[in-house]
Amino acid sequence: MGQARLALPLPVLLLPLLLRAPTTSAANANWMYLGLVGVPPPLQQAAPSGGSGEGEGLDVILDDPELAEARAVCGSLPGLIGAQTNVCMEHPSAIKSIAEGARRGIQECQFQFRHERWNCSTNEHEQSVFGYILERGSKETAFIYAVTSAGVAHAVTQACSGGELTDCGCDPGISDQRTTPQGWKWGGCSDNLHYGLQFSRKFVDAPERTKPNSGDPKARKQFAVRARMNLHNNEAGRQVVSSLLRMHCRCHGVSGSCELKTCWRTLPAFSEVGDLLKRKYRQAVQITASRGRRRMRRKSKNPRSGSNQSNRGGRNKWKRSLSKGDLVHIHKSPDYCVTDPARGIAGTSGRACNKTGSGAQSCDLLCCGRGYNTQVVKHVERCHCKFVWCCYVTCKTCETVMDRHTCK
Amino acid sequence: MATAPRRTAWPPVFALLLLMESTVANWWMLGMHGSSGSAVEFNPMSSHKDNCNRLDYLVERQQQLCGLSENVLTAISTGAKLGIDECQHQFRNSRWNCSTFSNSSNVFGGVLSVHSRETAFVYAISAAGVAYAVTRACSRGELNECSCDPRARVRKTKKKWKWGGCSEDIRFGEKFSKEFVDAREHGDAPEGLMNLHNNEAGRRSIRSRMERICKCHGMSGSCSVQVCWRKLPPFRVLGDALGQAYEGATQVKLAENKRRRHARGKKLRAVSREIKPPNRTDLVYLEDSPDYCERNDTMGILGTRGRVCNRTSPGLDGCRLLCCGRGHNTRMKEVEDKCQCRFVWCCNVECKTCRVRRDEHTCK
Repeated sequence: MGQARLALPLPVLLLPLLLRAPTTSAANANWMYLGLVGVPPPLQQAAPSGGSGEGEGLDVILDDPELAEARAVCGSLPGLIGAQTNVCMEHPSAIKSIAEGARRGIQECQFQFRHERWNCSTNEHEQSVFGYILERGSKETAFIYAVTSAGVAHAVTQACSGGELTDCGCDPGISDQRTTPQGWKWGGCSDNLHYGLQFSRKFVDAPERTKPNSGDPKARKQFAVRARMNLHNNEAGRQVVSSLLRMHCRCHGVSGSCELKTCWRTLPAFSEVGDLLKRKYRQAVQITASRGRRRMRRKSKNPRSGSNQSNRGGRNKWKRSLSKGDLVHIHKSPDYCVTDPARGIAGTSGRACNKTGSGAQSCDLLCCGRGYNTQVVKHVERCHCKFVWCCYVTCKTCETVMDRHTCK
Repeated sequence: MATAPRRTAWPPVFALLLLMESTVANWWMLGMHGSSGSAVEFNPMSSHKDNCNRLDYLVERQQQLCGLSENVLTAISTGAKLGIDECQHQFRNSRWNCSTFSNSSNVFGGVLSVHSRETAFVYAISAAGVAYAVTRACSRGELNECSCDPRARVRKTKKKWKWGGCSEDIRFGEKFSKEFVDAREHGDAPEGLMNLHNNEAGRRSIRSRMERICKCHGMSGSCSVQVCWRKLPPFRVLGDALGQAYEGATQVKLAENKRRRHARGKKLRAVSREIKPPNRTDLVYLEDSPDYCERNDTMGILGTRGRVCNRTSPGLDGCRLLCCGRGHNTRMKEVEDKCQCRFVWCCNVECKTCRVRRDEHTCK
C-alpha cells in the first residue's frame, strides 16, 4: 500500500525551472518546491561536464568539475535560502534525496488528508507550494513542517543505506562484530538514521535560524514565535521517524537453527510516519508566546477546551508540559469550506464525497451543509478474464454505472 | 402567482414582494394551533363544513375536502404539525432551524419565497405529513371515507404467512394528500412545478418504507398460522430519508419542450447535463439558499446570533460553521443533573441531583 502511493512519477519540469530566476518571490519561496519539480540530473544539466571532452581549457578555469557542477545545480534550485545552498554545495549528491524527501512528505500529506476539507492541495505554479497555509500558523502548517522534515530525514537515511551518497553509508556505530549478551550480533546494514536526522536539522531548519533583516520589533517578534513553532514541529517530525525505527533479525545456521542471529536497524515505511503524524495532528496543542522567551506554553489552561473533548483525566492535562513529539500551532484553522484564493483555500466545492456514513469524507461534513450533486458515471473495466492456451488472456469489457457525489 | 414569473422585467424587489404575498397564508397554519389539534378556535355548535369555509387561508378545493367529514380537519392539522415538528428536528443543527412564527399568517416567514432547498424540504415533509396523518386516521376508523387497505387482504403470498389484520391504506393517504396539498399549485409556473415535484417526492418517501408486522397464531405460539399487515413507519424515518434527499437535492430550471408547446410542454430539467436527472423521489429546487447567517426580518431569517453551538464538532452544529466565522462566547452554566444513581430492589432507581458546571457556547 505504501508502495502504491509513493509510486507517482517525479515531475521533471526542468525547463521552467531553469528559465525562472531563483530569486523570484524569495520571501515566499520554499525549499519544499523541490518536492514538486524535482532536481535536474546533474550530468545533463551542467554545462562543463558536457564539454569536458572538447578541450583542456575549461578544466583550467574550473579546476574542479565536480565543484562547478555542484555550483550549477545548487545555484539554480528554486526556493533555497543562502544557508541551504551552502548545504547543497557541501553535499551535492544529497540534493536529490532532499527533493525526494519533500516529495514524500507532500504526497503523504495529501494521502493523509485526502478525505478532509483541507486536502493538502499544492499549487504547482507557486514556489511557496502551499501558499497562504504556510504563512498562517495553524495545525495544518504544523503538519506540513513535520511531515516534510521527516521526509527529508527518511529519504536521506535511505539514500545512505543505498550507497547513493558519498558522505554516509550504513550506521557505523553498531557495526562491531561482538556478540551482544542476548546472543545475537549486529550485522547487515543498519540504517544510519543519525546522519539523516542531522542532515534534516541542518537543511530543513536553516530558514528558521536565519534572522530577518527588518528592524521592526513587532515583525521580529512574530518571526521569532513562528520560528520556534516551526523548529518544534520539524523536530517532532524527525522524532516520529526515530521512534518508529525497527530492528530486523535474521537467523543463520544449519536449516535455520538460529545458531547465529544477526540484527540490523531499519527505517519504518513512510506511511507509518504519516499515520503517526496524523494522530499527532489531531491532538496538536495551541501555544502562545510566553514571557520567558525560550519556552512555549499551552494557550489554554482549561482542560475541557484543550485538544481533547473528554473530561477524563483532564485535570492534570494542562499541567503536562509540552512534549517534544507534540505538534504545536499558534493560530486556529479556518473552516476550509469556501474557496478563498486570497488565503489559499481551495474550498470543498466539487470534491467527491460519500453519501452515507459519518466520517470526514461524508457529504454531510465535507460539503459544509451546501449539499451535493449526483452524477452518473460509467465505469468500464475488463472482466471475466480467461486464460487461453497458449499464451494469452481474453477478457470482456464490463460496464458498471455508478452514482458519483460531489459537493456543491 | 401564475402571473408572477412572466413579468420578470419588473424590478426584483417588486417581484419578491409579489412572491411573498403568494406564500402568505397557507394550510400550514393548521399545524400551528397547539397540540390539541385544529378545533380550538372553532365554534363547536356550527357544522364542520362551516368551520372549514371560515378558514380563508384554504383555497376552495381545500375547503371542500376539509368539509368532507368531521375529522378531516383534525387529520390535516395533525399532518401539518407532524411536518413542522419533523422539519424543526431535522434542521435543529443548521443555520436555518425551521423557525416558525405563530403570530404571523405566514408560518415560515418569508424564507419560503426563495425557491431553495429548504423550501423543497418543507413542501415534501408537509405533503408526507398529511398523507401520513390521513392514513393513520383511516386505520383508526376516524374517517368515513376510508378504512384499512382493502387490497391487502385479497393479495396472495407464496410464503407461509398470510395478509390479514388491518393494513394501513397508504394509497388513500397519498391520494388525499395529492388532492389537498397540490390544490394550491399551478403546473405552468416553475415554482408550481417545483412544489408539485417535491410534494410528490414527500409522499413517495412513505410508500417504499412501509413496514410489515407479523403475528403468530396457533397452539402456544407454534406459529402454524402467521398473519401480517402493513404499517406506517415512524415519521422520524421519513424525516431522515427526506433529510438525505435534501442534502442531495438537484438544482433545476424550466425547460420548455418546443415540439409540444401547447400540451404540458413545461418541465423541469437539471441545470447541467452532467448532473443526474432527478427522479420522482428526489427533491428539486430553483434557487440557491441564502446563507441564513444574519438576521433579516423581511425574510423571516432569525440569524445565528445567540444560538448554542458545539465547540468541538466539525459539522454544521459546530461553532465554526454555525457562527459564520463571527466566533462564539463561552460561559459557565450550572445544570442540574441526575447523578450517583443506584438500583434499589425492586425495582427502582434512585438518583441524587447534582449541580454540574458546564461550558455553554453561543454564537456572537
